[in-house]
Amino acid sequence: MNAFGRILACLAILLFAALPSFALDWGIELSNEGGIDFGDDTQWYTDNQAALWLTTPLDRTNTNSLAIEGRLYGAREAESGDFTTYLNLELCRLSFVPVAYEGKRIALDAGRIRTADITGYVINQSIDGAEAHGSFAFGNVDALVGYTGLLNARKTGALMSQDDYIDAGTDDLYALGAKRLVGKATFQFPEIIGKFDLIAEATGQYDLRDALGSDYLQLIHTAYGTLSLSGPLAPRVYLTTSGIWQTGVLTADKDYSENAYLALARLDWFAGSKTKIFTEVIYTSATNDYFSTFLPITFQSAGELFTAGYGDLFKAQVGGLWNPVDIVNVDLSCRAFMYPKEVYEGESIYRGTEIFGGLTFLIRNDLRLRCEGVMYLPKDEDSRYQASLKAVFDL
Amino acid sequence: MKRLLLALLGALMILPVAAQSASELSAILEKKETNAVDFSYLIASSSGLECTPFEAYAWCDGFNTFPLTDTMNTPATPKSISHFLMANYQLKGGIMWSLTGNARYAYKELKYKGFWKQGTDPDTVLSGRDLVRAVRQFFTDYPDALPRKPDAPKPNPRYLEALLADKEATK
Repeated sequence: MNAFGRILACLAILLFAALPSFALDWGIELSNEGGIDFGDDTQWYTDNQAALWLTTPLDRTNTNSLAIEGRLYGAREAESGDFTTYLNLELCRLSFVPVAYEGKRIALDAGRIRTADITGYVINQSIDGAEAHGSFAFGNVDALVGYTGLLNARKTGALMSQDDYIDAGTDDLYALGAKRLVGKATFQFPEIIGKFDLIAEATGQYDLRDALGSDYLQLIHTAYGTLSLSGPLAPRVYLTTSGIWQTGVLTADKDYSENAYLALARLDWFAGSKTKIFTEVIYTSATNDYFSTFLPITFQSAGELFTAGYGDLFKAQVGGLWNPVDIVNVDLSCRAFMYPKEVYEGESIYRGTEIFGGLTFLIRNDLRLRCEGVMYLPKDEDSRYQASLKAVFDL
Repeated sequence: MKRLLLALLGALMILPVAAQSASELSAILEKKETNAVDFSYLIASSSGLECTPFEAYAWCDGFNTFPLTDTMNTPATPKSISHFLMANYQLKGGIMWSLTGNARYAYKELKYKGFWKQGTDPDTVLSGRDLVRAVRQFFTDYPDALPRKPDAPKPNPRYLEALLADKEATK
């Protein structure tokens, strides 16, 4: 057994020795979704998940704790008609609060944890590593270091290079993910400009495929700098503006620079205690002599049926949430997708519009039903629709 | 003598006089670990009964929702008190609570409703301060909650035996 193995074994023994002194809270969540896709052909699809979660405090005050969640996925895709199944360890988080004084608190999460940057557009996924959260009199400081290579490639979301897509296209129950080292540091200064908070963040990822001796077609190293300003514009109206600058290098047959940016503005209006209306505009750099496509660490599609990511995108969205009674929640949004600049001479930048609506019923405290409908109206192709029903049951 | 004690116990248990002894409350507040008797006393006194902790436990036990294996010294935990409150104050719950009536789902129901904080250990033994806070919080959250009628209006003979044993020991 190597040193890493011995450390892991010692940690496991210590952990399980501590468990019997405190109780274990656990639960099972069953989620089943079935839907119909009306595209070129009418197809049905399902998405079934079973999750087991455990939490246990490691001290009496519950400031230190352990949380674990595993999930089994099974789905039938509408387009291919293939059934896919895989397992994933979603969470295995040890939380500690080593320092807690008045005006100073440091908390540490380690293991497999969820992480996201302040905008949620650069990184938004699970990661194996450690994150420290510090609260001080002047503001908050967060720091993360993690590795994505032990995640299940079928779930990870870390899709940046050709190799990442090849890794993810497997039938294995568990396939190791992209070998990347990720770091993030966030500084938040509350109410620094009137009632507006200023957040500065630096995020970076280093592709370790060559360092770990793996075969590769591409290597991508990127860094992101984010500035964000958010606060109330008027009573019940909140504004968030963010700018992300990306720089990096893609190595394939030769080196390519990966300079890009993303600009975001969002307005949230809490129109009443039960209603929220929002509008959001996202603009990412268009490919030209200096800029390349915005390439985040976590790939996320910009819509439901619009499956492209945030690279080369100008997106405008308006939506609302309405909670007429305690057990019903309605959400509706409309998104327009465009290119950030003219791609084909003489043609407009418009790509398509998506209309999305959902209705959630809290049938009982442990049973939720959700109906969803989405319609995508692309510029030059046939329209596509989806309707689905989802039930989530907590055992 | 047995009849007299039973009658006395029964009479005390149905006296609907709202009162909570300051000394009993102080004693509970000082405890690091509470038990079923402490919980019963807080519940009974919140229901307007003027009684001793022992009588309060006998009254609460009459609802027949304490597990058979429980004793007076069984620790008061979020799970155990959630079960008592959900079962005897006739609160509506989810499918699993309705199907099983299990303490685990009683705790989950109250956690879902925000009564217990996320991350609360369901099996931790509550301190006196936490128990008093929880019982007060319950009657604040559910001001109209009324206990159902106990299943066993007469005290269980085992309390009489306990009383007699205690009496013998003090002779």
